[in-house]
Amino acid sequence: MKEMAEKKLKFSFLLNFIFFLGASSVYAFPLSLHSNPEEIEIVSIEKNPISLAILTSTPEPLDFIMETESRIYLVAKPQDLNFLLSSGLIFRLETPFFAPARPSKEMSLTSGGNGIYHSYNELIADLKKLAEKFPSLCRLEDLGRSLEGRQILALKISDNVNLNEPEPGFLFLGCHHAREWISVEVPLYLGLYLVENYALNPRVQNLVNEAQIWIIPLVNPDGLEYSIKFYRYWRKNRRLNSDGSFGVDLNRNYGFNWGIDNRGSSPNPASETYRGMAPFSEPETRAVRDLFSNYQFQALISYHSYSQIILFPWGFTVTPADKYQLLFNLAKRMSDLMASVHGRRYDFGQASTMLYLTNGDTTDWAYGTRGIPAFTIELPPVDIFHGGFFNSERDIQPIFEENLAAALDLIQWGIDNYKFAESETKRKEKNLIPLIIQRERKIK
Amino acid sequence: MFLSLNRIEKPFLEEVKMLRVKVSIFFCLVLFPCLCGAQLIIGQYEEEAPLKSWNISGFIPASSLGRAEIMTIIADTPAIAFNNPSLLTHLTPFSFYLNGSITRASLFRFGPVNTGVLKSNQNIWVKVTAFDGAGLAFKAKGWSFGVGVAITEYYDRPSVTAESVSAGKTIYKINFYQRGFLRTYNLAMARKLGKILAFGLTLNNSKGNVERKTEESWPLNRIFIDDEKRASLKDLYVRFGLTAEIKDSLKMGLVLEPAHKLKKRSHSSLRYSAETTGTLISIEDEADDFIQKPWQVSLAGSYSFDRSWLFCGEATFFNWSKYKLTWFSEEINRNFRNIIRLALAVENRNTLIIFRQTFFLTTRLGIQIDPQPMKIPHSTFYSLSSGLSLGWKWFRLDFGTSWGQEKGSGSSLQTFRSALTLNGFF
Ligand SMILES: [Zn+2]
Repeated sequence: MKEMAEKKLKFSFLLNFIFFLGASSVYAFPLSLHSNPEEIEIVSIEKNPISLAILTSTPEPLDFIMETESRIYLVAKPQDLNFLLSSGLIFRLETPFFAPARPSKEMSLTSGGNGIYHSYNELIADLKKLAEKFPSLCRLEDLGRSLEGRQILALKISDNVNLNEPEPGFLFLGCHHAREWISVEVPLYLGLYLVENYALNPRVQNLVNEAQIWIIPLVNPDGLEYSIKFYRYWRKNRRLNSDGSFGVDLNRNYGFNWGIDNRGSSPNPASETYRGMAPFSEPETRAVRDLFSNYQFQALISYHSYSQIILFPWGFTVTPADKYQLLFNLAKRMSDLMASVHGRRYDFGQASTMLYLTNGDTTDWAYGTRGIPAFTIELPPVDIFHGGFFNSERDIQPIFEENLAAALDLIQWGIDNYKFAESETKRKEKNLIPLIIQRERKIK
Repeated sequence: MFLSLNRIEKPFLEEVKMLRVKVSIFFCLVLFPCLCGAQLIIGQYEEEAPLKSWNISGFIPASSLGRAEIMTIIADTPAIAFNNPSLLTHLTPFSFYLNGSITRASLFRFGPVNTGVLKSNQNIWVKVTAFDGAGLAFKAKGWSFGVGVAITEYYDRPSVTAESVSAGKTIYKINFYQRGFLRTYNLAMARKLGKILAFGLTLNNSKGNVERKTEESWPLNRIFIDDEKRASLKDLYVRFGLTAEIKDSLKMGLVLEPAHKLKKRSHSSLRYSAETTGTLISIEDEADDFIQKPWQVSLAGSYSFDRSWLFCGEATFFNWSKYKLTWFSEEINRNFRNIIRLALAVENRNTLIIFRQTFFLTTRLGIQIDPQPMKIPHSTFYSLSSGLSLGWKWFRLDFGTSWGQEKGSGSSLQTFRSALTLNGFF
């Protein structure tokens, strides 16, 4: 009986899945979700024989989205939701993890010479506007100045945003590399989404209440400006090197296994991967380092482009990291979630084997020094023939939407993990107390 | 992401050598307003920086060039309508001028060259040949009038093409150029105020454009990237001039150009195309911008003795600290300093009789100290100039040349300019 039920469900899922893949442009559920937020919800249910049996007994087959980490994701209409509630199944409301977010209409998206992409000034203006509008939810922290004196700003999002609460921290970074314009937009849109949906969306509220989310959308402001004003394909920062060439590759300047070999970074100042004179020689990477050292971060994502890949440590060696399996599972989960939004599949894997050797990059440093999951997400397109460092303006929103699902999921994972670790510590502490008392008694 | 390009082909730009530097474009004032220019140091990779020097006041014909660009005290050509309109009162009832010039200037850094992906081991030279000024002046009912047109600013940079070639095939190519000019139409009027003073007003209407383009291609992969920024320029401003003829031998001149806004309509177009996949991405932008030009004031004096020797000097103050501009609606702070440009010159006037014809011969020498407005580095051009004029009956041909050596930037920039003016006085 159970077997039959499972088969029936699988078949039904398959049909829906085929529909989803075959007509992904028609099956734009995030859009309909956005226009009709009251009517449809996305839920996830733990996959087990009981839940499968219940799910296959619905009057109409449920719309399947995906299956990941032993959970089944479904689109639930109001009647489906009633059914689930009455069935006694424990489900999780996942709508906010999928919901598309439109950038605020007040954003400075009119000029700057780079279309609707943000220039440095536009970004600073938008961040300031956001912090002024939602002072209880977000604040700006000045992390220092770039070489040419531009501000490097971090947006902190949390309840009690002015307190440093004992909550897990999450760091989202954009634009280490000047020409990767899309990597500014994705973390910025994430910040806007979290703040603007806090009051509307209980799940967002929950994440923001339980975490401290830090966003640095623009690590390399000088480079970005140069890329807009003078040379579109500029990559590095604007350091005037000893040989008259310009730029240090900020994503080779972090202080973990910095310059361990000349393959993962270059000692040649003119090279695109020049690592600088010393680890953290650049004010831009020092700004990230200083923030990182002041808070308890649980996870980090650094956005880059292009390739459509999720990368995790190590980058400096092909040897797998200690927590390879965890990193792999998280990356796979993010990739699955991303694919479920617009059907775009991000490949994933260890940085050194997926792309090339890198040393002194952000994620090796974050993982190497703190042991936290750290990911480089190379945003679309998949290759140089589909745009390379160019993304059409209309693709910003879809790219953000698929990355939103992944980012929110990582935050949720971090919160759960933090709570688990905390309860473990408490449990150990509890066990310790009687021992100490006993000892004291013995001494007496 | 890194090595996106190298995935397809190597080497990348650090191994690319500069192949061609196109340095000479003929420029024609009326028909073909395309030219080539250059300018300075830190500011030299800002597109609004004009050729040769940031400090532009009016127009420089050959006679003025020969005397260290002093223009506001000696009335020897109707071109002075651009500079000190009150001097029109000192001209004959009808006069005209035609001017052509050659300018050579060296650049150290500009655009992606020496600040980005392209590197040259020496300053890059650019040469402009231009028929760049024409006008006339006349007198009627106690008033003096001047009408003229001149190219007052150039924004060109050397056009640079670099290629990466492997096995005889071009793998990668980059082409960079910037062109631009400002053409100014001038309408001036002046009147004597008693025996000593003369007052003049000139109305300048400028129009021009600036265009910068970077074209990159990977020909084997059929991938092309064009980054184009262009702007049309418009300005309307006045200059006031005052001349005092204290004695036959002693004159003073004062000129004021109030601050004015050069308006820009900016357009940006960024295009990516890959033929094999049919991918076409275009990012466009437009904005109304401005360049707030600083007010300037010139004070000049000339003293002649013995009817054959004339000494003159000029000091011009530029209020650069108030300079500002927008670039696609964003305010840009150049953080300039106020500067004073100084010039001194001497002229010798003689007559020659050849084949029973009387020729008027003037020779000139001048020095100019022209500090640039950037705060870092403090950079100054020191120029030497000389000139020669040959007059016969109603006509006079002026030739002037100057050589400028820059100090302060460490780049040892240089400028050369030569000009030829034909004047007619009736
Ligand atoms: Zn990158």
